[in-house]
Amino acid sequence: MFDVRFVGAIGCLVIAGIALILLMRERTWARDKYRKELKMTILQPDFIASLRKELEKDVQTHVKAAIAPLTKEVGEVVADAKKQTLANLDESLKENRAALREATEEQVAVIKNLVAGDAGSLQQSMVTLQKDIEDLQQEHQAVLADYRTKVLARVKTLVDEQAADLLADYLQSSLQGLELGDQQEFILARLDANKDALFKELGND
Amino acid sequence: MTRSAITIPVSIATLEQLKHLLTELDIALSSKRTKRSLSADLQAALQENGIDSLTAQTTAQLRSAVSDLIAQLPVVKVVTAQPLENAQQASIQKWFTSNIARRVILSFKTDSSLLAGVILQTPENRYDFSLQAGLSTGRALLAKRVAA
Repeated sequence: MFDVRFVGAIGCLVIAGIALILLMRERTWARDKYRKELKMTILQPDFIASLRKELEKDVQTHVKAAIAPLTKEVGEVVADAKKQTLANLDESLKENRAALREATEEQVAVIKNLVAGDAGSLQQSMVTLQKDIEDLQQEHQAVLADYRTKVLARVKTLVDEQAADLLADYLQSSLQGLELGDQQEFILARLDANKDALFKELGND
Repeated sequence: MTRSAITIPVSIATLEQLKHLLTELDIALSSKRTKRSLSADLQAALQENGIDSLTAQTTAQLRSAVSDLIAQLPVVKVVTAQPLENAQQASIQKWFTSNIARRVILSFKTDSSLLAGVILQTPENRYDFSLQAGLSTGRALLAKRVAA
């Protein structure tokens, strides 16, 4: 009869042996798989690329997930700033528009006043100038008429008292030549009158 | 006959006569002409110098004498409004012959703008006795009196 302890020891040895065998097989399998992956890593670039792509994809996913809240927060800040800026601009434009309108209305009023004043002054000046011109023309005409009257009176006096004799003398002496019968006498008389001068010039060789 | 012996008659006293004589002598040099066809002035010149017929030599001598006369003697222009008759021109020539010792050449011209009177133009002076000048003088004198 077999001793129960002996059987138990045998059984433990068997189980231990089986476990040892399994561990050894597992070790061999792990070593082979490692070698296989190492071999694929070294010898297959496509595999490396796929791994890298997958890694980048994972990184991108993580980054995207990480910055999503930040992006959202920044967008909200920008939207608030834009809204605030537009509100400020609207308010500034309203104020400036009102100030500009007020200034323009004042300027227009000033210009209207100036134009009205200048037009009145210009019209007054034109009237004065026109009156001065008319007065000057009347004075000029009066002076001219007076001068003409005086000149005509003086001419008449001179003609009557002095110039008449002079005119008669030279007309009489000149008109002698008009009559052909007297032309010869006229020329000979002038030659005789200038005989000395002619002789002085022509008589000497 | 020498050149110095050639004289031009005193009756040929006007510039127009002398120039006509020159033209006639030039024609005579180029073609022979009979004595009958010669002008009275040229015939008088021939007669004064005792030349019976025009030869090339006598023609040249006459021409030279006329040219010398024109170049040497003073020319007196007598400008009238209307042309003077020959008798009137002759009386004026006679006056110069009688009163001026030296022989002068007269040139009678007409200028209707003178209206009347005469202008005597000597080489150095101008004697204006025309009605035009009288009117101008009277007009200027009248203006001067009026302005005084």
